Amino acid sequence: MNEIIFSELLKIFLVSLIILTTVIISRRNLTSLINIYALHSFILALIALTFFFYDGALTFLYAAILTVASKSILIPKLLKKSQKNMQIYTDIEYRYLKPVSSIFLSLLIFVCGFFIFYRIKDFLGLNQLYYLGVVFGFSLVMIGFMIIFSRKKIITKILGYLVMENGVVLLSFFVGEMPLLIEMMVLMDLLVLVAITSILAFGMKSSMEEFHAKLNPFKNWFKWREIK
Amino acid sequence: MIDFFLYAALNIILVIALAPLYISVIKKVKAYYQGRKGPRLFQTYYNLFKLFSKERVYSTNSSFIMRVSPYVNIICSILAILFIPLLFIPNNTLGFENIILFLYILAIGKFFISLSGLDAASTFGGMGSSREMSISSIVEPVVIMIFAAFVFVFKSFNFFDIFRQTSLNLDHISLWLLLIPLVIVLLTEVARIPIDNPETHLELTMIHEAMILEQSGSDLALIEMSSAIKQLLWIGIIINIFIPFGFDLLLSISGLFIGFVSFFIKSILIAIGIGVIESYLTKYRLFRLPNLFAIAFFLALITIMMEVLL
Repeated sequence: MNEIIFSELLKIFLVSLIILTTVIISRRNLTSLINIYALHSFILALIALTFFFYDGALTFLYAAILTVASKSILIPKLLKKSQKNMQIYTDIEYRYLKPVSSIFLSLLIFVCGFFIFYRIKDFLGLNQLYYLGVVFGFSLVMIGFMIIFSRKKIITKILGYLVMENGVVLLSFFVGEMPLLIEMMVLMDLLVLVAITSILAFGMKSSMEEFHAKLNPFKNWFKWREIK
Repeated sequence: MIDFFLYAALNIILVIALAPLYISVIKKVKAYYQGRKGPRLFQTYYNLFKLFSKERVYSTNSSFIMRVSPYVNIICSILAILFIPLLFIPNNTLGFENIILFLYILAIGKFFISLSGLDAASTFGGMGSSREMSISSIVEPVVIMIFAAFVFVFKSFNFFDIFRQTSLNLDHISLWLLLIPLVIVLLTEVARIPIDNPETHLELTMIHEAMILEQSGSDLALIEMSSAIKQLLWIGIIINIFIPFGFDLLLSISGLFIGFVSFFIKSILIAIGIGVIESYLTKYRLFRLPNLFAIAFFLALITIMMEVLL
């Protein structure tokens, strides 16, 4: 891939990531939040693909495929399922920060990111585009962190964590190659996190009797084992 | 000098002739989404014509402000048209080029309309003016940030320079971040959903309509016309910055024709876009509006940082 096309494509994707991040910060509707997260991850996968076409390193291709499969399809599906169980559709409760102050804090994070990495970009050997990517990755991590502590609902907290993870991946694309094994481990962690939270949310919502009824179908399975 | 007068005449005629059409287009799109047939495309023209032929009624409490403000408003809008080239860019600009001057001219028109809202001493008018000014004061930093971003990107305060640069090459990807803030500002400036609902006269929700409630006859027509012009003005800015194709840089008949056709198609598409946005969104509560403006401010500032630090 041509150097110019590569840098232009990366800029377009980074700009789209910022726009989606601002929407994640301020949106209240959970379904659309999950959809936006799926799109966010898809753009991350596109960034990985751009790196693959430019660089030719297969790690980026695997990272893109893994990102699309897990973060754009599987995790949003699991999240939607747990949201359906919880029967909540909007997250209107905030802690410490309201959406407006969250947006201004994210702005501050971006400014800090720009200045922090400006100091060390020569040390890291980053060119202008990579510097931009690193700043965005760092800011995404911090914004994810901010979402975790400023939202009250467990499902948005998970989304905050997921955004944070997207930031780490973005950072790894620009700073240095993250080994595929670690990438896969992180994805597994994410899946387990989302699954456990779904089970917890599902369990917390139901009473013991309901749980009993839900586990009842397994009775036959155990009986069958005993007969055998 | 002559090319500027030609430019001014063409711009003013084009905007005055076309501006009411876009209001009808938006209404038509909204009606389509609601499963209705909607008003005819020329309905806004009929309405304006009807209002122009009606007499003006003034409250006994009102002063000269009420009488002059519609004229000040329309003059400000017409002056603002001269800053935004729609068909071609003249070489001579006679000073109608500075971004800050453009913003102040628009602010003067808004200031007089707000004063006229207060002038009749009706409770609705005062409430509308107060709301309009509150929203304006929040949106002002966003507008300044957007134009500051343009200045940083194109290194010029001159609208004509900026548009000349965008029509020649559009290689500033970061500029696309400004599209969302510009659309938010467009919807705010022309008092449309989700900021304000131009079709309601409910006391709790109206902002712009409350302010002009005391206006009647040709005064009201002038204010409606000025609002339509402002709408086309902001659409023109969006077109010139983001989709400047078909712009005539060398003054020629065929170039003007192509410029007109391309501008017409693009502006109609944007008007349809506004109609779609209005159909999908509901009016936001007053206290949720800062949220929208904060996003716009955020994106505008990020654009500046991307341009300055890269």
